[in-house]
Amino acid sequence: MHNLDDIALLSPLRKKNTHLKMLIVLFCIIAGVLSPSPVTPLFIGVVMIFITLFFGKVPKKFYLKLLFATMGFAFISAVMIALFSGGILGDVIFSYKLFFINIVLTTNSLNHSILIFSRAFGGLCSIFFLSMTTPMLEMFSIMKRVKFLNTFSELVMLIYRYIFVFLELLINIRAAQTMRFGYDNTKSALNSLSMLVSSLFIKTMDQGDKLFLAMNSRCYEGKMKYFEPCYKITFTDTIAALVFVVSVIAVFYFTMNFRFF
Amino acid sequence: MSILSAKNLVYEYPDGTKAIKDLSIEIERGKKISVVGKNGSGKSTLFSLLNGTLKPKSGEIKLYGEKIGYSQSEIRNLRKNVGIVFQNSDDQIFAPTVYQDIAFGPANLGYSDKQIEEIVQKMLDYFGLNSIKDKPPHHLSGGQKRKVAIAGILAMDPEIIILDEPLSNLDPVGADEIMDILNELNHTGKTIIISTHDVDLAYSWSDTVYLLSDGKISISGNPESVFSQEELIRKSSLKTPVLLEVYKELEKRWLSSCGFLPKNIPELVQTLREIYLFRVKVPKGTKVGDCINVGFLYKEYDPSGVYESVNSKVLLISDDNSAIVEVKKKIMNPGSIYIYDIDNHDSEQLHLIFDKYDINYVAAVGKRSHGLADSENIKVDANYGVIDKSILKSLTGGRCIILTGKGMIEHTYKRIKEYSTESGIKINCKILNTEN
Repeated sequence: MHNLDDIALLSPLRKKNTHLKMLIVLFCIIAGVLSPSPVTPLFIGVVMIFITLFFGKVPKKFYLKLLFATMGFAFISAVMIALFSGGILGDVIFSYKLFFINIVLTTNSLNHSILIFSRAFGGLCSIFFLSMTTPMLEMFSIMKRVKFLNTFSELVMLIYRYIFVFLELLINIRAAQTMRFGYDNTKSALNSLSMLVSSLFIKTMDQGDKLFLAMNSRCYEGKMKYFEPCYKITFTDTIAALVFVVSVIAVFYFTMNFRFF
Repeated sequence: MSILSAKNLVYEYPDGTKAIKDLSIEIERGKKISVVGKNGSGKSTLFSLLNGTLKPKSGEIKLYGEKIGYSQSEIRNLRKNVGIVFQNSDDQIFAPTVYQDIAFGPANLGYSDKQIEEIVQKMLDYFGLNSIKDKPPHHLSGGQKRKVAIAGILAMDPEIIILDEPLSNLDPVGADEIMDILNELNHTGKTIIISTHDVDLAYSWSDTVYLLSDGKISISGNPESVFSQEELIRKSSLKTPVLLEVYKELEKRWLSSCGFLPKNIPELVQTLREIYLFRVKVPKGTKVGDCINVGFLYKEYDPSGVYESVNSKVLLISDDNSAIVEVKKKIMNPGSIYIYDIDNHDSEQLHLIFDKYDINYVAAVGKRSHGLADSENIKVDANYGVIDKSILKSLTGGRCIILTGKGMIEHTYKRIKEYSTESGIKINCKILNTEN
């Protein structure tokens, strides 16, 4: 089973300091959005892909599939922006009148759409880097650190565990139904699905009782502490982060006025 | 001394079914206790009552002789002292990582962060869970989950640990590891209560057995006396332990001497009657009173046997060239058992010992011994029932080494010496590298 959390759990970059990773990603997104030229976000995106694939040891096929799927949407939006933002001035490259809609491609609209596409690309790659090297477990420490609704983060910790318990249960029930031809035609499939949902629902209630019992029998008093795993920032990490930040700023500064068209 | 006791407990489920009917039980300190009974006989309900998660309808529970009221602080005290390990580990482990789960109990008891860290680290080392401490529970195997569940309870340092079906859904090696841990905990003074369907385990492992049927204790006592009540055992949907059954059959055939009921295989072997008279074929011209050398023990009998025969005396000759002879058996050199203290480990010395004593059987007690054997590239032959297996091996001439921590050395040595004096077979037993 490949899910993002499993990949992050097994990633060698998991053992790097979570706060450092978080700060870098925040910096990348802000730099990408502020940059007036598409070069900075593209640079960020390429570096992030490189780090995720080669240092994070994420399976390449899985990564590219996910990237293309999500970038597909960004691409469609970029095309739309390029063709339908007729108000933006600039040299007309191409125009066509479809019934009563003017499809106009100008240099400015093209530049604008490329910029938006590259921002999406840079931001997405940064988020991928974070989500494929930092499992949910590590995110709890950030939640707790920023005192982000204590009760809420405790709930998330419990929910996280039970997602996998119920996922396993779901797979088992589904297998049991499929084995007995529960999904052979639409009618039986609907019937099986309803039974699956209802039995899962009852199970979750049951599990809630058991959870309460389990917590109580270990003297639960309404507070769940979080023990942050300590991942130190090493000297090389600091240097690498600094080099990256400085190069992004340099790219930002020198390509500020760059346009493709 | 009774550490936990219940008197006239009655418990009714909200729908009116009586799960526990007038039940009384006395738990003695430092004992190994099994509660056996068929499915639905009320074992799990009894455990929940003992831990204070359920409140009885009537009756009382006493901890250290003091009656438990059901106020918040008293319940807390009861739960701190009586830890329950659930049958299904998934019901018990709820924290996102192994570390978090083990730390949950101590954190609730209000220890400081430093203390909690110390306790959790101790548990991780003890159960050998260090490599998986940051993993989420859904990445663990069944055996690992069970260990995490036990570690989470043990982290609160309870006096009594209750385990509901501790070996269910485990492979044999995983089950051995858990039993090893339980035995070791018992040696450090913890009182262990398990519920089980495995009569063989309950018979050979426990000091006291409670047979629960229909919400009541129908009989209790040492395992020999409980499991001798065949009628009651059968009525409770249980079986007689295999060892006991074998012994009873042997006894009926006059093959073993009565006296005491054996609890393990070395003890069973000890009850076997010695056979002195054999009918063997003899060469022509043999007369009554002659001494002959019969080599039959190497043909008809297991060549890896314990005995060799010396100067057998012919007592009677029959017409078909066979004779009744009295065999004087001599036990071939029984082997030796060496006990190695892993707390005083020295790699070079260990390998020297292996060469010097020509060790051919290695037994390891506990997780740490296993780790040590692994790191020294030593193949371990036994990891459960270590003492029994070593004794049996040494009886047939094996040269065994038992790797164990300081806590178990004395116990191991005592057990072997006891067997030696009781059976009259001299087993060479030596502690190799302890300080005192």
